[in-house]
Amino acid sequence: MLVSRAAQGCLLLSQIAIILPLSPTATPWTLAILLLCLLWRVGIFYGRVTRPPKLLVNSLGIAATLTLFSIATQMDMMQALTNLLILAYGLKTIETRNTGDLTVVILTGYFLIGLHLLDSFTPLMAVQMVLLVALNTTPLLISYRPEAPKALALETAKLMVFSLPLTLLLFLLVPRMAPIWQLQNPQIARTGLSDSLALGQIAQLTRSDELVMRASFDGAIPAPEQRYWRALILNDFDGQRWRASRLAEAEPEPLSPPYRPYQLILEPSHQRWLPTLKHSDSQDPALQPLPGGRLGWRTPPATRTSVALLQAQAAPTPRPLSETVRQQALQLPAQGDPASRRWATQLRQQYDDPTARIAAILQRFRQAPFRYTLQPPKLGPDQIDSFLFDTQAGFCSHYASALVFVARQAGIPARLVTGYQGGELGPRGDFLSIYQYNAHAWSEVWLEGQGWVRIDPTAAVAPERVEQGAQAALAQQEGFMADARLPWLQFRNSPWLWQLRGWMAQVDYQWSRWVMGFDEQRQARLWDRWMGGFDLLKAGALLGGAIFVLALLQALSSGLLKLPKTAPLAVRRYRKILRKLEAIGAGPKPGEAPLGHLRRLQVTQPQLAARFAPICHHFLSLRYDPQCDKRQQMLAMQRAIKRLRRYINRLHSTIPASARGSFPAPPAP
Amino acid sequence: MRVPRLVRSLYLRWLRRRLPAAPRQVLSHRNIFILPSKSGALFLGMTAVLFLLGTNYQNNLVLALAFLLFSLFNTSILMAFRNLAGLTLASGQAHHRHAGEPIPFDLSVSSARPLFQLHLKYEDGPLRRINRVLAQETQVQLLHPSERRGVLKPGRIRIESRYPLGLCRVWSHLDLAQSALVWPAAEPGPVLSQHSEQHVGSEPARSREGLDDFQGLARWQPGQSRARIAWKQWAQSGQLQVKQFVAPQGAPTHVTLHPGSPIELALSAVAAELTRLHHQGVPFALALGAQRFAPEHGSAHLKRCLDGLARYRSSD
Repeated sequence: MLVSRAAQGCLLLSQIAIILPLSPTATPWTLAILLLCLLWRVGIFYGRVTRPPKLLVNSLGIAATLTLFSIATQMDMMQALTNLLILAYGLKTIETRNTGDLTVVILTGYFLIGLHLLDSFTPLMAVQMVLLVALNTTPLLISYRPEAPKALALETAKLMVFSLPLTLLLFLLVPRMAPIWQLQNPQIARTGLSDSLALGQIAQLTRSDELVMRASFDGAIPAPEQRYWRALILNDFDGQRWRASRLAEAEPEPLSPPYRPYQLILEPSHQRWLPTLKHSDSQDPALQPLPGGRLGWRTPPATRTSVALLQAQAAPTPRPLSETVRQQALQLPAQGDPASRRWATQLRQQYDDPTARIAAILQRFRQAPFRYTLQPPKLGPDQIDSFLFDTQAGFCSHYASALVFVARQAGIPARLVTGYQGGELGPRGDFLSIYQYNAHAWSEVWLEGQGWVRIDPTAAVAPERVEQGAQAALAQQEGFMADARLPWLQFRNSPWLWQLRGWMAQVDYQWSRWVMGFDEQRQARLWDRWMGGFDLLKAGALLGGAIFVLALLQALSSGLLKLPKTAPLAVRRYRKILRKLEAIGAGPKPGEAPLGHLRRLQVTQPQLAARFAPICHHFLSLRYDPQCDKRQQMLAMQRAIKRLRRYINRLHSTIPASARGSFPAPPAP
Repeated sequence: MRVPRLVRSLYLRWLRRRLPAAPRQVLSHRNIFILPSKSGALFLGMTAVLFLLGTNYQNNLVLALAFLLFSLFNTSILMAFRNLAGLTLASGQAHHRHAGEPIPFDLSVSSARPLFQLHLKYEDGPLRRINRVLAQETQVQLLHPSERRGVLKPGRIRIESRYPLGLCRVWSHLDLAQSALVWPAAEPGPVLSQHSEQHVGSEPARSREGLDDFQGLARWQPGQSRARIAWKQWAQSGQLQVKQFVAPQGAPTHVTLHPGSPIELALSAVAAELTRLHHQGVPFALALGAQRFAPEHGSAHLKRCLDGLARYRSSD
């Protein structure tokens, strides 16, 4: 069957709709080839060109192969696959002639929709998915049922609506499985923390409003100054950059109850670390402890993932610092920043107590010329010196690096910690959303008897950054949320829109908890609540039962099955007594009406007919006389039936056993 | 796809028992079969790959897509079934043709619910597409090839549909108890034909109503053309009369099978001769063994004679 013009037009629309969201993944060459194919198709649609010449198809094919070769080495498997499919999608389109070709193009379209879902998880994506599936299905439907657009849309909608109940059922009931093979981690460049930090780097993150994670707590949500999400510990400083080195730390300090449980729903970062509160632990098999009292992924997930964690309420008793760790935490570059070193040595001589030395540093930060800005002036070659004594303007990473540098020079083991600080409360106050602009750097110093203590010098300079959160503190700064996908900051003055953003976060949070996060455990919990525990037999039975009920409903709706209609009482009684008559060979002939039956019996078996006659008359008036007294007629009929039944039984018992079952015909007159 | 003969004959025997022949049949779950088409199998395979992808990436949205596509397949099975259920087929008139020509069979199709894209076909015949079947009965002609003369039973009609998405094939094989006569192919050959020329002198020539010669007058009856009223006679006698004309008719030709040639060839030759005589307007008579067709002319007579030829010593 040839593809109709309507189907072609519809296919073009759906192809564009499917490719648009995928275009960031596709290479420019892929897009160019696809565009050429689609343009040709538009030409065919408007009757400007006919089938593509062989030369064009072949050269496009060769170009596609070359493109694939050129990208295969630079990309991970999934991205290369996406490009391959997009190319096939385009090339197959230009030679779509019959319904078979059309089906192949449409199947590829479904797969491309799936590929797009791999790295987007919002509830809007689900809506987009359903719409795209509907749009992609339409060309097939239209080629079997040419209709006007409105009627066609209605038919497609019907198809989708009929399909949704089973989808929901399968989603809830089909057991979730563990990954079947291990995937390589795609190295996708994303905004986020990295394991090395130059002094001016975190400011870039404050330009982004990308979601990092959402956190919910059993019990009260911690106060803003407690919301420090530790992700990375940077120990090595070469005068320009801080780097994470292998932390030589013995086993972690054991945590002790009471614990406060909390849950994180994390966007995929494709990194091993995840930001957690201090003193956190987890039973989740996907997580493992990292040195420095942190947690990390065993395999970084590629999708939105939720994990359950525990935070010990009391700090563990610190163990004495091992010599290697101490060395690491005191390491400094051999030279550079002489002024800072001099100040540190001065502090060391001035104060005996390390706490006092730290306090002195913070005191200096609090004093006037230091200011907090996301657009600090350029630093000289000796960065710490330049910041401390020259520019005196910067943001968290400047202050934190300076503090760690000076503390180390002053003989206090110290380290730089990066992660996120703060988080925005959802509109119902039940969860925190942490965005990239919450990125923060602070320091931890080792104090005898207290262990590692968090010191946030930013809190000394700009306390509102910590207390009110990044939104409030940074909103006035140029560049803050500059790369946001929606210009939310302009909406700040409109409380409505700001609230809308909050509610969108709420929807997204519930979505990721209940839909994206619907994993084996959540499914198991559902089983526990509804069915008292999961086992394969029960699951099979429930799934089978549910599908059976659904199939039954569908069968009824499609006319495959009809509910038996219950006949009126009179008819049932009459039929029953007819069966009794049949058993003795006096039943009606096929198609014989009651009166005809009666008349025949009156000739052949007058005795029997005399008792059958009242039943017959009562039955007929019950059925066909609307004026009769139904109750009385019914009672009379039942009495008559009883009499006849007794008569037949008596008759029957007098017949020898051998002749039972067939009533002897009366002798012919 | 070739089906082994044994399987095929078993299937046909089972079909005979399950779906006996009847001139009017309504499709329902008793006589509708459904299987996924090739596209459907591809579709299911792709859904399975999406399911694996979703499982491997632990991505619930991709899993949801796989489930949605599976449900779509399920819905398409139901809608495919609904697209045949309720279709009423009734056999209509059979047309008789010469062997070698395709034999048209009339059917009427109707359905209370509109049905789309039905393909009707006899096993060996060409495909007939029906885009839409509505509640009103529609006449459809289906062709069946004919090879030899005799009674042709076209056998089962395959009614197939791939609506709505082409993912499943729903079909039924119905026997509408149709039959048609296949006349012998008209191939000129030796025929025994006898013109009754010798009677020309003794017997008045036969004639039929025509325009050539005036034959006489008859009483006018209401409804007859006024152009033919003989006004002159009316003026004389006062009675309305019409003029009657006739065309002269040749003497009838008596045709018989040529005893020398093989029976099928002889029948073909007779069929050709009768057709020729019919076109020339010559009345003819036919003798087939014991059967006699009296001299007569006209299409109906030709048909009767050809039917006789088709049935002559035919096995069924």
